[in-house]
Amino acid sequence: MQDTLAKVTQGAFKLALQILGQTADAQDVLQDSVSIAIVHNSAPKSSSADFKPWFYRVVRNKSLDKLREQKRHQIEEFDEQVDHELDSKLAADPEQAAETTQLNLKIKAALAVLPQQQRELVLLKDYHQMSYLEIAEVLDIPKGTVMSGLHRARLALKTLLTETVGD
Amino acid sequence: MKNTNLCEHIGEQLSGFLDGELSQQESQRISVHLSQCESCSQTYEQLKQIQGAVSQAYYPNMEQQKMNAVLQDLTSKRMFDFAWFAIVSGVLISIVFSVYHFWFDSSIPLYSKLVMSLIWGGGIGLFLTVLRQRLIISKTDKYNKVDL
Repeated sequence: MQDTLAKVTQGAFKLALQILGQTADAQDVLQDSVSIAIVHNSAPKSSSADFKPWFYRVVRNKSLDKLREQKRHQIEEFDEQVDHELDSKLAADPEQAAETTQLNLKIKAALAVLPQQQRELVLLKDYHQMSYLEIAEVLDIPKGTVMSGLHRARLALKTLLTETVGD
Repeated sequence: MKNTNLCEHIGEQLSGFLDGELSQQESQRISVHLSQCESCSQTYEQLKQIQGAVSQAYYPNMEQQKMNAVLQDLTSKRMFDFAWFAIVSGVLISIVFSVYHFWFDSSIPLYSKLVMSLIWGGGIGLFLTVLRQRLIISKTDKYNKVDL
């Protein structure tokens, strides 16, 4: 049970990081969200399946609040910071490192250009492996609009990546 | 062979198919179409590749030490609830017990009981009124997060 909970909180941290771009901000958001989960009466039990989408929604809303407070996007700083950590991780395998880093950069650069909700849709589905129902709950949108929004987001990402390859 | 009308109609269902979110009947329909339409089949393969790449994107984990602290907070929620319940129950029981003893103590004269009750009743009434106002303000004041 502890392992499942650790995966949920680690995933929620990454969602905050994907929205905010700064490790310190993402940690603050996660801490605030945990405080909400502790005191909120309607919070599902941390051992139940309902906890993950509920907690992701809290983390997402807190991240957007923080983003609005800051009134600036920090995607460039984020890329530098994450790439630095990625480089140190891949230093042991230099041959694969170049290829992986390049793909990683391309994907994240393309994701960064997408509108906020399209980026969230793609990340929640393809990175966080959530179902459409869970995504609808996290983003507070009808389940019926998840598939169409996600498809538009993927087509936009495809176009961006094709343009990058073309360059 | 490309069937434009069908391709346009399928559109978003390609993503639904990729994610395994379609009904069995819809999945079969898309599967048959993909085997016949080169254009849609190509788009499907590209979307699948993008999905794979996004799922492999690298984002660092939160430091283990900090994460452990967070997990400890979450799993101690039950203890937190129990502690509050114990404190509130203890305070309520001791108040009821004290009031009972005070009122049924024959050594204290009646006028003293009335005066003390008025003072304590008034104090508690004032406390509850102020507490209520503060709670309403903290929930409704839209400027309480503004740093001046």
